[in-house]
Amino acid sequence: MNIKYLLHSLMRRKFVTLLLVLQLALTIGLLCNSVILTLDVNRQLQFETGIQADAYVVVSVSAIGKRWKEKPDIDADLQQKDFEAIKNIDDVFSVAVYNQTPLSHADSKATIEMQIPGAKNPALQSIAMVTTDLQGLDNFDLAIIEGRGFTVADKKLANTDSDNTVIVTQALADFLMPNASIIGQLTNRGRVIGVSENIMYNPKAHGSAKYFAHFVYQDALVFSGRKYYILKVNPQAIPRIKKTLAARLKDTPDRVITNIYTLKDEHTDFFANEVGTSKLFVALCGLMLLVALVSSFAHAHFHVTKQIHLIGIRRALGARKSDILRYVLAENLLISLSAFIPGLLCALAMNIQLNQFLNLSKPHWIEFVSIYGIILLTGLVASWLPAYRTAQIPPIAATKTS
Amino acid sequence: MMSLLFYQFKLGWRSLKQAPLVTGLTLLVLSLGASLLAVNLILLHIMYADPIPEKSEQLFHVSLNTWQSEDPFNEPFHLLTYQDASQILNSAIPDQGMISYRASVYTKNSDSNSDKMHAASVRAFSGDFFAMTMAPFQWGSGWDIHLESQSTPEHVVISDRLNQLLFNGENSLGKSLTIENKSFTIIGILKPWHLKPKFYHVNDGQTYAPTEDIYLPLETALNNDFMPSSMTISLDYWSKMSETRNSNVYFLQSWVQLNDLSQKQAFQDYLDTYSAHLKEQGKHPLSINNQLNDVKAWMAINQVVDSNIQAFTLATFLFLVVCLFNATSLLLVKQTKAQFETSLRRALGVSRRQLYIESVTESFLIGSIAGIIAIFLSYLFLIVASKLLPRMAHIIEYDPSSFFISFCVTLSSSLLIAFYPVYSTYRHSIALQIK
Repeated sequence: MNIKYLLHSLMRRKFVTLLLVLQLALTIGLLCNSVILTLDVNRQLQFETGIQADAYVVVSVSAIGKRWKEKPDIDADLQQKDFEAIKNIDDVFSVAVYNQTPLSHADSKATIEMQIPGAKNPALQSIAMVTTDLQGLDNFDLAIIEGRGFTVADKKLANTDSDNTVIVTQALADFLMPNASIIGQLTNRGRVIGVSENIMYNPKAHGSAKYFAHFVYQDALVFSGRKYYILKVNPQAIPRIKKTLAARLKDTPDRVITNIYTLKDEHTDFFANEVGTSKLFVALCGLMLLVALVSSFAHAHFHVTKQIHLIGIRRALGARKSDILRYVLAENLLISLSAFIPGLLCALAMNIQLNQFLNLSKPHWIEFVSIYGIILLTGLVASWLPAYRTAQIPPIAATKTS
Repeated sequence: MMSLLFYQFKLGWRSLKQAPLVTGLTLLVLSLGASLLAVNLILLHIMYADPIPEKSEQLFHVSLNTWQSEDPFNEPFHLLTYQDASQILNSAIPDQGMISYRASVYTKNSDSNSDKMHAASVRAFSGDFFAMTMAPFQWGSGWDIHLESQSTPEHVVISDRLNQLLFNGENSLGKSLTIENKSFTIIGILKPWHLKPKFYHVNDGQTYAPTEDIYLPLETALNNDFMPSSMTISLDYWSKMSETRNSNVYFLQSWVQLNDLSQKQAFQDYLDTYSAHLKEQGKHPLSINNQLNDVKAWMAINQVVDSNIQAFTLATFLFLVVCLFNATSLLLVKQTKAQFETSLRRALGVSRRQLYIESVTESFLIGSIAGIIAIFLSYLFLIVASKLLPRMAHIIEYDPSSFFISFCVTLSSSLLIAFYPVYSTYRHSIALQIK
């Protein structure tokens, strides 16, 4: 195969060849960035959460009216009855009450500030504030790394923060006091009594900020009028447990059960728009490949139509069918190869442009080479039919004039 | 003239039928590229729309820089305390003004035998909310805002959606509505009301959320302890909404109507003076930096246009470019195949102008057919988009302007790609081509 001859042949139809090279370059760029977007979303969904999300069922409870606020005992009694009903369900291992769920947008946040005399104490804003009961941390299998867990005496009753006790996650403790123990230190939210393992309360934050949270032992309903029973269960039994919960937990004039779902659902739903966007990009990838297939087919078709006489002469001079087949395929391969550099530039340029709207990772050479390989293969597949048809033309038909 | 036009179309149709595979591929590629871009243009059109064109330049969101510590949440902050918001409402400078917050409650028709409570959203406000937002009333009206501060009547206005749900869409004026175990009287029912975006509350995921189900006076909401269901930040400890009247709880948003520049300047001075006065009293340590942003500016600051859609629009635009290149190649194939016949016709006296007209008519025909296909594809893609982007689902709609956008994008794309193949065919000499 004479490369020089192939190049010369392509240059005779520069405009069409250039169009195809540009198409392939744009296709490579878009495919590459679509793959990056999809991988990024998957990475976010598979980020270490600190909890086995598919082993938890959430029951969302909303209070109605003010009776629960004026007479907290009513709510406490109701919760006690709910918990008894929940604990009697097979495959439910434990249950605790919280003011918000992890792995999603934290509804309740607070500013955290160390209260160290004489030191500069910067404020850390929008830190998840989780109010829970005595079982709250155990229910999530969060071990206390330093200090101690909550005891009955830690329950927050007073309307002040000064005599409060809090437990912070390891990530938050490391950030607030990187070189010393935080145990016993006073913050604006109360005195730190323990440091727990990390759990994700801010999935879209960067780095360790995903795990910034502090726990307070307090009635969950106090602020929002909403609370969540979170059940640790056998993942295989979830459909049955959800049905049983719906049957056993009935609405009362003071509260309604608004939803029953898993923590995994919550996490997936939190990224629904990102997942949806990546699916749209994947669908676009499919269409791009289809169009690339049509492009390569059209180009090969156009090219052999233009060269039909030349091919006829070559056949008459002794070229075999397989030579013609190889010749047409080699032409397409050459075009695809020439789209390598423009494709790389397109991938980089689009990455920069798309980063204005999305948080995309930088292109990696493995992604680029994989996409490029797919484009090469698509081109060969698409040009096979015109190549095969051309190879079947007898020399007499190709060289005849109208 | 008409018969000539008809003849041109007949020729174009015959030409398309001569190469069915290439024509089919061209139609497929064009309609795919154009419909995908059109879908995104439809979404962007909705997102960039002016929600209240009659007065978007007169309505201003108020942000004050009166955060009471040296670590402000934002400078200036879009949420206000009750005291600051009341100060804004008390000013006589704006023609109209309002302060409001959003809450979530459970409600039911008081006369219903069912105990089932329905979740509903509440807009609690003080001031001229209905007039400023031009909320359309179906029956009744709002309450007298001048009596609002003297008494807190248990009156509510409800949305058409809630009226349909609880009262089967009938005139429910004067009927009783139970909200959180307490009875309220319905004094107004709104018509179906869609604000896209909901300019008066573009934070907290509310940008494209439906307008609220229940509207009631701010003081009523505070007295009944309807907790905010949107961002609320406090520097003080509080547990009841009535306590927010005297606490540093930031939960209210404020809008004012200022009809001209002098009025705007006067109100800006009023805010700056108020802020400076607080600073003198040691109530905040921040610089005097209060802002008035009209509807469009406020939309821009809050980036109401979904960045995912912006990114996808960029991608689909590039996809259309690829499709156009592709369709050009396909048309070139078609022209090449018909080159001998075209040259023969030229040799027999058909003018170059006549052939150009034929080619453009053919492109118009391709564009029109592809445009019709694109309308169907756009509809299909919008359904897919609403399934894949659940948070966008309620803003996605397919109206006549969407048909128009899809058709125009396809037709103009088709005419654009006709240029090079036509030029390429007719630039060579007849002798060379029919040799």
